[in-house]
Amino acid sequence: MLVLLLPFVVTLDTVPAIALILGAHAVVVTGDTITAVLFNIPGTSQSVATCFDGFPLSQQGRAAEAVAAGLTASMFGGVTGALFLLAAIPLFRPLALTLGSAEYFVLILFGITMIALLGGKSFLKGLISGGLGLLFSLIGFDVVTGSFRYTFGSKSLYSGLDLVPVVIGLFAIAQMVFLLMDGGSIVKIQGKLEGFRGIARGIKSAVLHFRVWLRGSIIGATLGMVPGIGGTVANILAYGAQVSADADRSKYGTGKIEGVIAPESANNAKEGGALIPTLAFGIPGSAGMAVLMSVLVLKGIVPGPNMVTDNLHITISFVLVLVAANILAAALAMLITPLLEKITTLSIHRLAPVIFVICTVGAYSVNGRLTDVWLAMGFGLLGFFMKKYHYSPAAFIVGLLLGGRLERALHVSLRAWGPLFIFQRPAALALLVLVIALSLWPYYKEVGLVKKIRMNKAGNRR
Amino acid sequence: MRIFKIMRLNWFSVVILVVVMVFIFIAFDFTPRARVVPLVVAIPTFLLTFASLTGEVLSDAVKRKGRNTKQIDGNSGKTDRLKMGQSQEELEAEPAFGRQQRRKLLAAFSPIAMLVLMGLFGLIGGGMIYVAAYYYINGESRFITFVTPLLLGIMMYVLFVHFLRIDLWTGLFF
Repeated sequence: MLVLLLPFVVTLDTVPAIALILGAHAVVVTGDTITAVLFNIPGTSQSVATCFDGFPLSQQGRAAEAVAAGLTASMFGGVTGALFLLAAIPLFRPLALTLGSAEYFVLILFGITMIALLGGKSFLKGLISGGLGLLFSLIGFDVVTGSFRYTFGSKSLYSGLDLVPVVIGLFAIAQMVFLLMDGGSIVKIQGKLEGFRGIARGIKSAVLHFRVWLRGSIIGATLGMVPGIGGTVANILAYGAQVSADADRSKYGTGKIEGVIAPESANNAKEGGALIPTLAFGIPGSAGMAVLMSVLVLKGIVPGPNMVTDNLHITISFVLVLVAANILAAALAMLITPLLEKITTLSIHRLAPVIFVICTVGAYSVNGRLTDVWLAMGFGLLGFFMKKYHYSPAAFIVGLLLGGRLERALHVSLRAWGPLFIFQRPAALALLVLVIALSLWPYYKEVGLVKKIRMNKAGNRR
Repeated sequence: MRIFKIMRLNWFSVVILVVVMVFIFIAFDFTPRARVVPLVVAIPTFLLTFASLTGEVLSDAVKRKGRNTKQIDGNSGKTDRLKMGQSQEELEAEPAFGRQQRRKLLAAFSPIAMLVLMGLFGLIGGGMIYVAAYYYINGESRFITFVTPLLLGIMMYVLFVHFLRIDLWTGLFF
């Protein structure tokens, strides 16, 4: 959708043109906090982890507080990311070259394991969901081998599954069907809405949880530097790091404000980091960065080392635009939050038909294809049963999103270092050990718990 | 479905297992390079699904072993439930509860009706008719029944047709 702004950019000078594109791109992840918290529907895949604690907070009647905390954290994250960009200018090259394809491969596995661990009731089912997402990402044309896979002869599957209809189906449609079966409204605890008081409390929470958003921002900005990693992994890893760092882990997933602050700061901070490879080497890490780079080229600026010499003023303008856009977007979104909070008290029978229509039109509008509407409906059904049987739609989406990149990283690593590539890359090996440790952690915990219960029982008998 | 009940299997996990198996079998038709990732992903997913399914069956068997079956069978009759402290009013309210459940189920399946309407009258027209009909059946006030679809139609027109230049007037099926 960022492409729609390109015609307006042609007539503008370099800095205003950058301000328009970067300003619009950087704050998409600020706005998506609202739907993630209010309806459990991530506005983009970069706010998947925000839903885990954001939606339970809405159900408790604390929607305004959660949205305000998320928006404030987004603002802090965005500003920290911009400062990170400023600080990293002299370190552009060594930082971006630290991670190779082998580390990248393990990092994706790490992201899926984290979301499986944190995103649902069953870790095993979370992993299965991630695996299924990876398998579905293989549908379509394989750029590595030049062959079609799992298309069953259907031309509409040649380009693979489009993410938008899948996200709409798995989250929005499935969530609405679930709420319809449940009845009532999103808010499960009846009481007076908090309005601006809730917003004030949310801002206060975000300010007080200084360490939470700072940690999230650092994770986001660091991961943003790796081309292709994107905000999805940053959002998930920041949430995971927050859960690991907190002594009281049991309350995550039931409505803990830190569970909103950490991922939201990360996905905004990632933009500052993502600008580093774009500006330093001309390697755009995402579609948005590719559009931004095309604007630079359109204005006669070639990304590279000259961005810190001749064009330093443009690099500085990137930093300032990031800061201004994040502050403005958070302030504007907060102004409409009390109004949006009221939506959570509406009967689901008033809300659902409108959301169904918007979702269908949204799915259709991506490519103007009927197939995408059916795809959204099909994945809506899949999402409903996944939720019902404790599988993780979030892990599925992450698998689907990162599957293509995982495959490319695996092929490059196999070619460069052979089948035992992990053992030749110490950083990748360390990350893999972490993935295995994380995978075994729930079972280790369970065994410990069983031992404790048995010991208690034995003690009682005596 | 009966076999799932007898075996105490989670039918959804079985469906996932079958889907993963299909992915594995099809992968053998690909070129050796193209099948690397499908097999690397599908085989562990298959094993995990199988482990999950086995775990579900075993844990259910353990639960069943520990449960007093007599207690479950004896509590299904109306007299027994009255004995358990359930009032006569609560028991009589059950048909109304059933109606409510049916209404919720109908609401959940209403997107199919929406797709048919969109197919016939276009995405904007069909969407507006669907919302109005839903509200009317749900007993909403006339104001809400007419104004909400109208506002929705205007919003969709401005955003999608005017700004994004997407044709939403033609029906999905034509």
